[in-house]
Amino acid sequence: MLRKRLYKYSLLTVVSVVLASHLNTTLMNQAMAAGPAAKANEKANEKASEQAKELDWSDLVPADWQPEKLFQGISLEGIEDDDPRAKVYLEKMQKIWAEAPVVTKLDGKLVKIPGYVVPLEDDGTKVTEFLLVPYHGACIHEPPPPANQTVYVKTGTAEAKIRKMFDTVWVTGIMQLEKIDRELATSGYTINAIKVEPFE
Amino acid sequence: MQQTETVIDLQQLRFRWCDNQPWTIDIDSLQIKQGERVFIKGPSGSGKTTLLNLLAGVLTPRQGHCRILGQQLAQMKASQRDAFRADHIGFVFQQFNLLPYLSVIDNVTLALQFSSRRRDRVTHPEQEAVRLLDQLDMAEPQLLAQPVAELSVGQQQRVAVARALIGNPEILIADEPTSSLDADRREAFISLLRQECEQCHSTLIFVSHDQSLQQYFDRSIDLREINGAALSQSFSEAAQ
Amino acid sequence: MAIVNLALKSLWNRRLTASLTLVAISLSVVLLLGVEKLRNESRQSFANTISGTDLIVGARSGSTQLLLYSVFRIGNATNNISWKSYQELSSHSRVKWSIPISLGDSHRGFRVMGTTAGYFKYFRYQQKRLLSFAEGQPFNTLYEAVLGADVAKELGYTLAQNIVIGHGAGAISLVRHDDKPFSVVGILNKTGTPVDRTIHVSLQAIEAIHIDWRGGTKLPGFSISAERAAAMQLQPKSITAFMLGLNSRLSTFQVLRQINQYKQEPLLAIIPGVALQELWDMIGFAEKALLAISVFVVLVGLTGMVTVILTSLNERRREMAILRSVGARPVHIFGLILGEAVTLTLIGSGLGLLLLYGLMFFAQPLIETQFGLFINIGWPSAHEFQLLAAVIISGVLVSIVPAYRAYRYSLADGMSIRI
Repeated sequence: MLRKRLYKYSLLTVVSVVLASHLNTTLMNQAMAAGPAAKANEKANEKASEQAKELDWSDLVPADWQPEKLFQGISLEGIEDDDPRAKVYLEKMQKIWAEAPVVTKLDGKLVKIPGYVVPLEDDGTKVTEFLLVPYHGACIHEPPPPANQTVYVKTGTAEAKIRKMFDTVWVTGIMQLEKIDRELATSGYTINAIKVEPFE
Repeated sequence: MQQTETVIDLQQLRFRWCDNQPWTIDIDSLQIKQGERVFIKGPSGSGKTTLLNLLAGVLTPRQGHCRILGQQLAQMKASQRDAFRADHIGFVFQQFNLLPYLSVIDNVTLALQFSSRRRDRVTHPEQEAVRLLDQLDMAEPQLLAQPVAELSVGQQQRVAVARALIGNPEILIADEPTSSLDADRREAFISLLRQECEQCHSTLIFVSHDQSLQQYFDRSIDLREINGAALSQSFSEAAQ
Repeated sequence: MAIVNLALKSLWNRRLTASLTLVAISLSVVLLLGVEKLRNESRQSFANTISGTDLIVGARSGSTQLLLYSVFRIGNATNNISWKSYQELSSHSRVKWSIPISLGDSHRGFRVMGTTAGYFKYFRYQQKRLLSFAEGQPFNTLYEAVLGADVAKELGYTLAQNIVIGHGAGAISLVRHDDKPFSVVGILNKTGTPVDRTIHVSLQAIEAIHIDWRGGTKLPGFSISAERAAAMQLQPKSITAFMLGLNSRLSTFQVLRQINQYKQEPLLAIIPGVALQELWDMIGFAEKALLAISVFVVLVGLTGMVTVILTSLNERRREMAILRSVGARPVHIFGLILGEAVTLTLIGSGLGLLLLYGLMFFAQPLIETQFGLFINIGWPSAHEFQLLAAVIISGVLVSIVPAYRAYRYSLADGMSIRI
């Protein structure tokens, strides 16, 4: 008789522990996501992303900056990769791109921009910092993108759904200008993202 | 309860398994009254098993009706018939009556698990079980503690009787209960059975092929005589 | 509840076969949850090994190889970097800080790393955490060493103790540098990264150790005493790799490019985040395959359970007939068989969970020693609970098969007991 009760109660205990823990974690997650502070935050983010100005990568480049001037009158056809002239042009181009100027009026603006992800920091569950670039495989291509065609993104507490390396995403957040070089007066773009979502 | 109340009433009862087969059961009329102790003689092939299944409500008649305690079983849903059987009928089979994984007492109280009516009649199920077992000489502590698989056939049969009678169902149907017992034990068993049924005011229906047991019962019915199907079968057998 | 009682008693009656089924189910649950946990913990552990470093530079090789030996201390570099190249590159205008490292020696199975005091100032792990000292301070003079937490613990070293360091990275050093013992001046707090299993000394100290060595062997008759080596004011000649922190992470691509195209020496610069991700992607296929296999193993376990119950149904027809005779309905029979199967699934899953934790406690130190990965043993995550729930639900679903079979039997058999 005692055994009967023992079985019954131990079974009930096991089942309730399993269910309770599951329920607990689910509720906790929901609460965190739906808590008053989080909810208000989410609402603010929703509003913000609607008001964000959608940017194109060309918007990050000042209108008067035209590196193509370098190549005016020169035909690049017929020049092989190891031709000394090609090397010279490459170096000149890299120098210019390294000093690429930024569009200062974007500083402090709420923007939304799409691009490819180059991960920098990861906390085990999501990417916390990354570089956003306009084309796939930026860090292995020659040459690397100029400073004004790269955005340094920090995700902080924002939701960041990044599926894989070089994933295409939309980044929404406030754009800021950051000093890059301690010698030259060059700056670059950074964004503290409020939302990072997949680009469909 | 009136002394002369009819507990089993079969009229024009016909049953067969498939439509293109001859009837297995074809009984014009059979009445059994409350408190009777009836011996039904039926060798294998006489439709005995089918009749018991019909009485239990496991099968429903194709034609005619089968009234148990005034209720038409055919008009009930399957679940209602199962409940009815649990409430009003106790069964004892030839052997292997008990569940091997329950104790002796739990096997007896098993009958109460499925019948609220019988459960209500018994305030302390385990005590009642022990009481019944005591009357059947099965109440010794070491016997009660034994796993049922280790009991002798006779002991197992007596536990089965206790189960069939706990909570006082109106009818007890025993199907060849003594056929696995030694010949010299049979009489003792039957008298025990009669005694208990009388105590519980239950009607006893004892089915067996062994004609020698007929003497212990008030009434004897030969299934081959009342079952038209068995009759025609034996005719056709004789003809061949 | 009557049916539940019957189910439990029935299982207890057949406890031998029931326990075998339990073993099958619990082992499959251990595999499934274990793979999942390992996957997540490794991911976490991986990501925690290095943080806040913009570039890692080594002699030209594969990026995975560079990551593995510089951060995980797994494997070896094929070549070294000259000190001159390091000095030139680390003084780039875009570089904020740099940490040179030199690997190749060992002490009783733990790797010895030569570096500068800047390591303790700039190196970060686990989301920008800095290294901290449990006792003592960074090395200052030549023959001083700082120990990782596990080194001190496993070898029982304390502050101010003297240790001897051998050449090469084997656990047993056949050739030793007996004449130049080091003093322990600092012990770091536990980080859960390969730092814990490293002995840190200055770059000069590495040079001093090898001053009378050429080509890996101590030249007989040519030994320089510890004091004389100190007096030589040694400078490092080459290093294995170095880490860079830039003023702005936006310069990453430019600096990377320049290093890769450095004329004086063939070098390779990698972005740690990218290299980690690449490494993880490589393993990713294996872990997905492992997960798929575990799922199949669970299904096999559950199928085994169903088979056992199905084959036992035939001999239980009498039992079902008895139940029918006392008034059980076919649906009760269904519930009985289902109850037994579900009980087995529940208990099996619970046992599997317990077994998993037992195994984890046992394996945690082993994994850390062999792979430098720290597996955190905590409460099961929500995802793991979901997996467990999925196993239980699958168990319930497959249990319907034998339960339905029993239902049909009892419907057909009625009370007819077949011997």
